[in-house]
Amino acid sequence: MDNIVEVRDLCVTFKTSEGSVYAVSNVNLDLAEGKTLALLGESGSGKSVTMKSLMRLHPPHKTQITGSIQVAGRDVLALGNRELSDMRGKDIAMVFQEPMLAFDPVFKVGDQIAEVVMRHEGCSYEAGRDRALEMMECVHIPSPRKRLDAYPHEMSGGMRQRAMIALALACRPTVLLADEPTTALDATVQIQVLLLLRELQREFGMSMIFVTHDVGVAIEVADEIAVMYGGRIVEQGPVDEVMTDPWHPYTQGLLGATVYPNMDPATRLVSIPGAPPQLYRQITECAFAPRCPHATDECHDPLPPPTQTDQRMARCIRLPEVAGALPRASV
Amino acid sequence: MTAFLQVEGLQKYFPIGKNFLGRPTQVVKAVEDVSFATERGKTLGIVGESGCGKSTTARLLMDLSPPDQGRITIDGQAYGKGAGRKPITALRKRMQMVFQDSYASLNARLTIEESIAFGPKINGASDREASTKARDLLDRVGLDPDNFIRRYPHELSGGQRQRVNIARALAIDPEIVILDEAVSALDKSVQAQVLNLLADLKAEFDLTYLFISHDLNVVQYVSDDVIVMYLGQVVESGPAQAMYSTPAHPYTAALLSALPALHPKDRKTRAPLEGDPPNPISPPSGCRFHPRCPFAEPMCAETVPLLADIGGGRHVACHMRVPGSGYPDVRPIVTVAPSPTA
Amino acid sequence: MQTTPKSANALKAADGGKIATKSRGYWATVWLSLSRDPISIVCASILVLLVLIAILAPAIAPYSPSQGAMVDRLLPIGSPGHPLGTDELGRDMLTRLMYGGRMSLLMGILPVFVAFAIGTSLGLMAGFFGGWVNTLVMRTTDVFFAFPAVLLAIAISGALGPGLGNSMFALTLVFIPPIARVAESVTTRVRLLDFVDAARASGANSLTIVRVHVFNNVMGVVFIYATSLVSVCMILAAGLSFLGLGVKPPTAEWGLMLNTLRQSIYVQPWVSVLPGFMIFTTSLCFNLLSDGLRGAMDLKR
Repeated sequence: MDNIVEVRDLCVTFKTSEGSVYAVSNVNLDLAEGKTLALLGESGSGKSVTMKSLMRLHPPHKTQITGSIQVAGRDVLALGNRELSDMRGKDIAMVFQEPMLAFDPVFKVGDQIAEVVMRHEGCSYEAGRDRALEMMECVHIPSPRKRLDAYPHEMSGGMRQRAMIALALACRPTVLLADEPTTALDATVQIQVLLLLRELQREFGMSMIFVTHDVGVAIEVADEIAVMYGGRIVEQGPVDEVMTDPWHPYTQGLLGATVYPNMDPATRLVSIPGAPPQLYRQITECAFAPRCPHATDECHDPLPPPTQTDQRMARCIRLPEVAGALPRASV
Repeated sequence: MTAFLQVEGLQKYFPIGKNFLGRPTQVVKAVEDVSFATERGKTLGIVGESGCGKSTTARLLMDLSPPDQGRITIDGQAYGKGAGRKPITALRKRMQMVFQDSYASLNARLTIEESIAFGPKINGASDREASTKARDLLDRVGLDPDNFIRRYPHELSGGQRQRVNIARALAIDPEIVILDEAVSALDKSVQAQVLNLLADLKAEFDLTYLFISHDLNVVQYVSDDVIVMYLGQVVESGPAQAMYSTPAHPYTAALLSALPALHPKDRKTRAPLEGDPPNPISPPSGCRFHPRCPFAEPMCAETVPLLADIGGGRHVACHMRVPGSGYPDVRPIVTVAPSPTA
Repeated sequence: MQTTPKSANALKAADGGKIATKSRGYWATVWLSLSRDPISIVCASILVLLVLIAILAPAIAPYSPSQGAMVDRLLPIGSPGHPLGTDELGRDMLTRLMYGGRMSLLMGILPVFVAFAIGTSLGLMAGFFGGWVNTLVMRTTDVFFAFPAVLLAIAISGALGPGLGNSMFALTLVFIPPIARVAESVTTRVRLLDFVDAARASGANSLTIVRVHVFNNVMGVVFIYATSLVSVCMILAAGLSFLGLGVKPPTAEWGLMLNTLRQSIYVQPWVSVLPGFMIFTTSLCFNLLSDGLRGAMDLKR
């Protein structure tokens, strides 16, 4: 099986006036063709930073990226500015949380999609508009011909998100990056967009990396899931296995802290004490140890290599004892 | 016999756009004829999508924007416009609110102590009393007073700030606390801490909660009763467990089946509703839900459905669900209430 | 083997351990970050030095500012006894620049300070109460905006007649509208934040809310803006004096000195530009300091 995305030992450090922020440490990712990987984590876990690195979207003079990133056989970190612009939008495209920010408010939606197509494929404006119409139909925007001439603010939230997906997919990218694309949407619209993304992925045969903080959303779209905490991937594996049999104490805690339908109001939620770590220093030990109910002294030593099986990975030295220690009694 | 908290006929139209004479050209019917009631010590959940009027309802109750109409009764004392009623402003001593944005709802220039002590001070407490109160409340919400009392909001994490906001709301001894998306912006692990804290405080201070959220699971977990709002109107109300297991209104059913799956094998295959919620500036005629409703009949576009009693303390505003209308049972609503992971 | 579950105290420790350093107040934080900015430190030092020299001028100046010898007129920079030369009446330039600083700094700072007090109050009122109060205040300030600042200062000053008091009054009037406008826009933004609603919900009246919650959030921003206006004010004041509308000779003032020395520019160019250089340096320092302050006061979440 060919991997369309391969990330090895990725570290991303931001330089700020208050010192370095070690946003992502030693991340390894593999994404097979046609598959979806969900990066699940809380704010500050490094999930968005990891994803933006795949397109090198960080401000270059303030960011230090080490490791290697291969997307569709190309070494992203070695690309020149010209090649990078060619790659962005063509081989790899992105869908953002807030579509209003992704569209330029003074241009018509159809023209913005056409422009991307013209730039990457060197075709005429008419051909670009034709593609835009085709894309608007693909994402099921009602009366697409009319909507081509609409401005972004004239569309409703869900429709704008569809239009942004149309924009991202206009050049048939092989990899789609989605950064919390449904978080700002209402519940009934969120499920529409998730279903749409799944449908388009099948149709176009593309691979997708999906960043979310919502366990349910990850389950809806992902084949593989990578749980991030404190800038590292703490657990990775097929979504059904990780979500039903979490190995890492953080994953267990996250699932325990999530409110499920039909929970007995009398049961207390399993909360994780404390707050996520600040990344102002390079955390070499387990970042979750200060909050972990299973932590022992050795958990504060530098992390050994992760425990790895064919399909799954988890970074916890106490794994044999901890795995299966599900805090949810009802399960 | 009236309930502890009773809200009747709450209404608010916002004028938008004015012509050159200063007359509004359009109105947003943000909240229209909203009524609900709850008992002391209970939690009433209010759910709905953006623009459904749930946050406006909270602001009306706190008189942060004055309601056009409506009567609020707490423990037999009526508030609102009209003879024999106290002004709604007087409610503020009995009702407090926690906002969604933990950062924006604290003054960045004040210490934690000053923020919490502000309420008691302006209600007549001495500096010393207010300070003692602030320390006491910080301790109750799980923050060490010695460590936190002199800090500023930007030095706290989101969860800690929301604890401070809860302490601030409790500082003037309210009987009712409105939680307007109070845990929505928090990370899941922190959200669980705050939900547990809220449950403890409710028992400790004998509080009544109005829990406003878009998160149906959380609302089900915390609430005794739930009301569902759509475009400024209540479409369904009733005990939480009954409503979640057999939703009466098609919109409630759609909301529930729009919840993401809990296991990959239960993934959704189709969306329960098409399109976005309509713009509240020009809501649809008749039943406001009819353009998106899979069960709509011609009459739904013409006549506004009223909240009808369907037994078991439940009410629903749907022509198709009113007993004796000939419609119920004919087209049962397929509920897709997800079950927990097995 | 499992460790014992974390107690409530451990939770506090884990929660609180995030911020190891002790808490600092807002202004202490601003000061700390300002002190890390070399440009701000240099500018502030220069300004402090200039103010000190101006205050101590009678004690440290080598000569009298108003007496000179005609035989020593227009001596070049570096002349014995007159390190910065002399002016067209033979008065010592160093002395006159020291004394001139008193007037120029006063005329640069005081009008802005008074305008800051009045403009902020007006802007707060207009922004917080909105409605017709806002319309009244803001439309009145708009009238003043119809005229360029220089023209307005000259017109008011000219109508009132020359003199220190009148020109300062004119400058104050010129700076009230822009400050009021900034204060109003900031107030309008702050008023919509949740903590103002929270304060209202706890039963506070408008005056208390403005005093405790709105004022300190507005003041910082307006203060930064006002410091940037000091340089403008100094230049305007110098301009008024240059035109003969400010202080009268023989009082030393940088703008006036620039005016009287302008005839000698071909004789002693370097001496003639000295007052201009002082005006330039001082206003630049105020501007850079204002920029530094803006950066320092911008607290991140």
